[in-house]
Amino acid sequence: MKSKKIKAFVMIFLMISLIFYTANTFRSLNQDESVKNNNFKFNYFQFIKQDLIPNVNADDKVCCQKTKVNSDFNGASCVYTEQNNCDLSAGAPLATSCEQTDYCKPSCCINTNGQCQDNVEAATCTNVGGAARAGKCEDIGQCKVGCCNLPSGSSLIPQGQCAASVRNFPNLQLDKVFDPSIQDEQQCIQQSQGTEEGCCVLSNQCSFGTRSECASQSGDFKLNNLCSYSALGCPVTEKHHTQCYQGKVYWYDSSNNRENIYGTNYRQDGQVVLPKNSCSLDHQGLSNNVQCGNCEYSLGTICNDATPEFKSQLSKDFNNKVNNQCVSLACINPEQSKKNSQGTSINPWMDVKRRENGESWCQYESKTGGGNDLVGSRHYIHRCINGKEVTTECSDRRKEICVQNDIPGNLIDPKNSQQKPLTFADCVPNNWEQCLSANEDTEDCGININEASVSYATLYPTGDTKTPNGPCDVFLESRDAPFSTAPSLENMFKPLKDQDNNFNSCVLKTMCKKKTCEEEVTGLCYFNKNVGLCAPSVPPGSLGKEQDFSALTNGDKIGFNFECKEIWVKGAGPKSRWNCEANCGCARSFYADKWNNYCTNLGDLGAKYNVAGKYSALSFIHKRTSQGDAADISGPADGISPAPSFNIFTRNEKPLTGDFWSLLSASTNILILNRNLDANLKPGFFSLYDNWLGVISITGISFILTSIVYSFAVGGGFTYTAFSLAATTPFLTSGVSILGVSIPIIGVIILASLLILTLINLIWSAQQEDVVYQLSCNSYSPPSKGEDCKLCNDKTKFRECTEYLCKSLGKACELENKNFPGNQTCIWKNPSDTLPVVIQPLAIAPRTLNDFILTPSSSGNGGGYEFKETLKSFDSVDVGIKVSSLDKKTTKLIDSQAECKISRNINFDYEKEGEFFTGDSLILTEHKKKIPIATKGISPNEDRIELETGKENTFYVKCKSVNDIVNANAYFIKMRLELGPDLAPPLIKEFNLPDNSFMKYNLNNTNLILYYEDQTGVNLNGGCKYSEVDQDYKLMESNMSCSQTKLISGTNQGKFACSTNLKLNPNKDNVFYFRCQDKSENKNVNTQSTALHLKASQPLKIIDKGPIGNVLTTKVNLTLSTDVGSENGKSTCYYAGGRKDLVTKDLTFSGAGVKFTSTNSNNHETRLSLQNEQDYLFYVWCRDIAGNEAHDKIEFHTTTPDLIIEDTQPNQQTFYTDQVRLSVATSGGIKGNGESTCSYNGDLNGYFNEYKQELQDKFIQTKNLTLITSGTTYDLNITCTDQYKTTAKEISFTVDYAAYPQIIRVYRTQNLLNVLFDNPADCRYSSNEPNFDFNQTSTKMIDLPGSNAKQVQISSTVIYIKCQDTRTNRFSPTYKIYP
Amino acid sequence: MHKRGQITVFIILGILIVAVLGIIFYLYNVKVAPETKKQSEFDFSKTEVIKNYIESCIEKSGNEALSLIGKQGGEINPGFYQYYKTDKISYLCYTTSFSACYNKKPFLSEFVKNEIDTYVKQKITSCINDLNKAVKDKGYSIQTGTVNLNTKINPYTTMIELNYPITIRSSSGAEVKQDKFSKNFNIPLGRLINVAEDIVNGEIKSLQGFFPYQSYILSQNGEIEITRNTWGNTEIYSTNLRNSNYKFQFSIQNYVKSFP
Repeated sequence: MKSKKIKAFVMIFLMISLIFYTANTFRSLNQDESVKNNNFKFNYFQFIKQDLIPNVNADDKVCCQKTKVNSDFNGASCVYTEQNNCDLSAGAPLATSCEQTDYCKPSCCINTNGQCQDNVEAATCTNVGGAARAGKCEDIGQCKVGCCNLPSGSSLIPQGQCAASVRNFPNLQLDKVFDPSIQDEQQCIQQSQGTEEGCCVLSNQCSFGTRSECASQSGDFKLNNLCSYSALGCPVTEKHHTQCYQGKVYWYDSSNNRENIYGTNYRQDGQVVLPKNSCSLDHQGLSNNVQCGNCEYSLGTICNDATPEFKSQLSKDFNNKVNNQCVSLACINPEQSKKNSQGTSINPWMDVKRRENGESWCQYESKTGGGNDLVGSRHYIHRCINGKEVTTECSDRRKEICVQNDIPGNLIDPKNSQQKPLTFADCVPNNWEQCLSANEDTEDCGININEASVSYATLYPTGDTKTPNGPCDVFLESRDAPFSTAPSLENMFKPLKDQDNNFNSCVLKTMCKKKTCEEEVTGLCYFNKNVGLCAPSVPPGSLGKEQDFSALTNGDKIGFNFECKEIWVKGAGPKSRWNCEANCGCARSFYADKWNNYCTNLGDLGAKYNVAGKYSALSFIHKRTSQGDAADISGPADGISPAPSFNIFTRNEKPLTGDFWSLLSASTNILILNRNLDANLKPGFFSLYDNWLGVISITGISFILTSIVYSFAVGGGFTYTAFSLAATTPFLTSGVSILGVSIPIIGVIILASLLILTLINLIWSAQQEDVVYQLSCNSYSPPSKGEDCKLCNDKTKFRECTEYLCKSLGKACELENKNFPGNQTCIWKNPSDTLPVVIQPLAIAPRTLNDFILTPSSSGNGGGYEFKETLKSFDSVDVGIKVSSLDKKTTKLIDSQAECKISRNINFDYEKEGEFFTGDSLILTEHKKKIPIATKGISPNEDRIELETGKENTFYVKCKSVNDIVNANAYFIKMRLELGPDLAPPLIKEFNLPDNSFMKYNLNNTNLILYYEDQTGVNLNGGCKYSEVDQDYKLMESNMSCSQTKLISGTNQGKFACSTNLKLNPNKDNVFYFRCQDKSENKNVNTQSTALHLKASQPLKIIDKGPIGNVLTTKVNLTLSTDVGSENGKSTCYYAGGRKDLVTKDLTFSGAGVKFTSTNSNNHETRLSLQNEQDYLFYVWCRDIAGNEAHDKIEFHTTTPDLIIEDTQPNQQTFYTDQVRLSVATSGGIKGNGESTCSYNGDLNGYFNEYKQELQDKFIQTKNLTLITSGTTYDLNITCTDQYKTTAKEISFTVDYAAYPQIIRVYRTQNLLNVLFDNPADCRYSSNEPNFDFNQTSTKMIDLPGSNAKQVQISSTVIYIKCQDTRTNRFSPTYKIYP
Repeated sequence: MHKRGQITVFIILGILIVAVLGIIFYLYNVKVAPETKKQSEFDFSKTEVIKNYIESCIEKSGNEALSLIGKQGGEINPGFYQYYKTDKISYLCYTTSFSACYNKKPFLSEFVKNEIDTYVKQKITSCINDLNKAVKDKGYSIQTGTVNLNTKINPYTTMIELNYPITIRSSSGAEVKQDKFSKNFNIPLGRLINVAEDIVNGEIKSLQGFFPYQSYILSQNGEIEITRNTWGNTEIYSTNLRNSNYKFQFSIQNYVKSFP
């Protein structure tokens, strides 16, 4: 018990004393000076939490002079890493970055061989056994380069290296062999003392080779002697045949020993003539040079098979011996440019006589760039590859464009001042959509207003409100003008120029578009000054595939369509006249030309030529659409100017280039660089474009309209009175003061005058009218019929006939054999069909044919149809027709295609009157149209396709077939519309959000517009109401704000609109009920609600994407799959990006995004033409109908399929003829069918260039060889390349056509003589006549089976035998045998 | 008792069956073994046997080495490299600042030669040891010298030569000798190393790190194909001859504009 107490006391003591001890200890730690200076406090709790062994951090890193071989760095030098990775035997490391150490300072490193290398860290140099010298190598004598001429050869090397090499030759001295004055490699090589080659004389044969080869055979080496030198006694004959050796044409002797270069004079002493002393070739002008075979690769020539043309120039003696010639690696006489009708070259840069090996250049079929490419045209690229000109197509429909640049000679070979510039071209994707994106409004592009104003003034020096020139020459009402100021025309049409903020904003936006267009989307876009918008330099080929060009589509129709409104004003008073006050020029052709020019830039759109020179004037419409006094004075639209000369479009000054560096180093997707556009996704260009137009037609015109109406109603009338009063008051006052009594009389006169003036003012009041002109950019309309179809097949005009080209040549052109490349033919389908198409009724849902009265009643074909019901007076009406033609074989109607027009006039002239049914001259089978309700009356002579209420409306349709046949009788479409007093309540037609719309995830409010139809309309506030409960109009608690006038444009034209902001219950289904009450006497009110259901949605998800990893093609399908969201993943997706090395930032939601070609579903896909062997990065994002968004990125690498040699022939065969056919079959490769260029080298060299057969999955090429050397085995290496991949295979075969039977053994068997031959043979004999008749069969020797042995009866002392080889048919000499 | 007797009979039968199977198995092995031995009997009249074996070793290890050299920037086991896809690609030139890069592999050809020598020598040694063991197992004696390996990197071919004296003797006194072995590889390593050195020097001397490789291609008469991919701050170069599938790729980090 006692001991326990003691223990307890000790423990208490310890606990208390340790508390003080610990505190005191930490206090003393914190009193340390260094700790104080660092504001550091020792913290016990931190202390006990720290690791016992501290982690390595950056503070522990050093610069290793050398790392350990067993470290992660495997012995590398100058590495900044943890100290434990350093190999300390190389030197102590410093704890600083390598740049700051002396041992990693850059130096000139010289190794023991005397080689020099610049910019090597000293430690790295030491570790490779070199000596590090400060400074640049070029400043160190040891590293000065010169020609080192040694017996082993000459080369341009540093002096130190030469010195090291000289040590191997005791008899040489450095100063004798090193010549620093020679700086040219060629010149140096020519100094070479030659290699030790010569004839190796053996006991029974001779062979030409090196000394070491001869030594290995124990032969007698005759340095530099040819084996054909007679003094050597070799059994060979000189100049037996030629072969290629080291790229030169050499003579070979009969034993296949190399001799001198073909064309060289042999020396009398049999010495080898070195190439430098051999004949010389004019490499520049090489053309079948029969004099010399001294080809030189570095100068652009190489040995190859002799051409027939070359052989024909040889003498008879040489004809069978010389099988090779020098050919140029350059392309001599490459394809010249085609000429236009004026004889001018379309592509003048093609008119050169020579292209160097590796050069590439572009070919265009029409003028290119600046939006000038013609419909149907295509770009091509030519390449010079080892003397062959290879032409390939850039993608059809100008999806790819060819760009070309000259690379300066000093960049190709800085040492060679003679190096001429070479041309480098490439097919790059035509990302034309980027040009449209560049039109996005932004004022933030790195230029200020001052710079922008200067540029704008330079671009548009003229222009005012009346005749606008630049995009900012518009005008707005001066909102700041005080109301007390009497309005005037001057005030009302105050130019935008005079409104600093608006004008500056417009100028800045315009110049930003120009900057973005010209600088950030270099090469592929240009700024179309005419309209102040960015346009593709090369329009895409949209013809016939209009539905694929969503970025060019506004609604369902490709192209654009807008109204230009001239403002005409007539002042008050009887003598006033109509004057155009603003926007004057809408009617003029210069204005239409500007917009047609832009239209043609966008695709195969607008009035332009096709590649065969056929102009389509119908594809751009410019017409007046309004009536009235002002319109009469303004006159009809001029239309566009007459077609310019076709020759303008058939001549290029220069190829497309773009920015030099970016095109060379980043030929694709340069567009995405550094774009800093608004991240808001826009549905397409024309929404932006509408904004642009909005500046003119909506902002400008509407304000003006409002202003004018208001001014003339309020200001023009009352103010005039006020002005009169104001003017007369002083006079009145003075009159009062002066005349006094005369006030009543004067007052009466004044009042009477005022009354008269007011009456005049009322009768001849000031007026304003808009004169509206429509400008419509439509798809190019190919020429009728098909007279030009055959041009497509003319190889002298077009390199390849594609469906696109074929369709561009004529409406009736069709491509046959579409799936057989090379065999496609464009034909005029049914040229003899002279019948017009049959027009049939087409019901647009929800209507069916049962809703029509058909004429003829059986079918409605060719006659017309009438709506059974009388239509409500508020509805626009959908009408449709279908065209078909008579199949002469079956006598049945089959679907056909035609363009159609509609008119109010039954006998309208198709060419001059009516409007296109679809708004465009497209050739279609089904034509649909929405006919709107007329907002004003239609005069009898007016051909406006609108519906008049309370009347029967009849329209007439005619179509023009592809063979240009127009229906003689018009097809009618008839309908009646009702009209009556406003007894009906407002008819709620629709909302800006369709019923059952999905709301974005987490959305708690949304703006809503309600559209209704009514004769009288509703009150401004609360005319329409809504509630979350279906109840009576009066009980509904929420009011809407409603317009007091009908909408005058847009799809809801003629309807009234009300708006509100709906409060939503987020992420739940919401239902709202709407009712309206009109302003008529009856105050008609909806007794039933119109419900609007708004559905909840979930976040959108991207669940799959592709491709990933390696893609075996350059035509890549970008795919995405989406899920959840509002409609189980249905969404619209976009992408932006490109080559990974060019994508510098996250482009998600970038304005540069391009819509997937196939989208608006769960699965999204777009096809891209990319470069091979590149890494690509695309940012992708999707948005569903509710606005939920998801984004991701796709990364992959492009490569191409392997090229496979399936078969090579012959192999391991022996030929007893001098004719051998080589063949190679390939598969795979870039085109999938094995298409490739194949060559053979080894014992023979050449190309497979005689016969090529292209099968669906295989490519077969052959080459016929005539081989003059018999008894030889040829080893060949066959190499094929598709420009992307190369593959090779070896073959071997033997040629032995000179063999004849020779006796191996003779022996007797009793009285029989047996003779054994080396080859199969047919033998005859004679007992007495050496020259016996071989054809006499009685003398045939007996064949012993199973061998080449023959037998004959011995009947004389001598037997003469002669044999013929059964394989080569060659005869043996006559053998004389004494049995 | 009767039942116990039946069990005994079955046990005896079982033992007999096992014994018979064992004898058959033994005899089979005895017969097969000499046949196997006979098949691999050394033919002392042909020196090609050794030559072919050793040269196949050189070919296999040489191909491995050349493949790694091409893929990994001239280094068998890169220590200072950039990961690109699945390859470790050695830096031939490197810096971390906006300045000309430092040549990390001066005298590349020599370096590559040493790499191949080291790798092949190591593999050959293992291969030869296998041969020695197999020969000794057959009852022959073998006498060998030291392994001397030399790689010659020519522009369009690469040759590995091995000097390794080897003598095999049988108990009857027959012997076969061979000391020189070589294998030629149709791989243009020398040419591509030359190209790589040109590119490194071009990058070092270039203006702010822009080396116009397209013009270099043109200057080489189109014989060379070069692709350049950017990977962070690193340029991955891949080079090959137009007519050859063999690629030599390497990394360069030059004029670094920003730190990652």
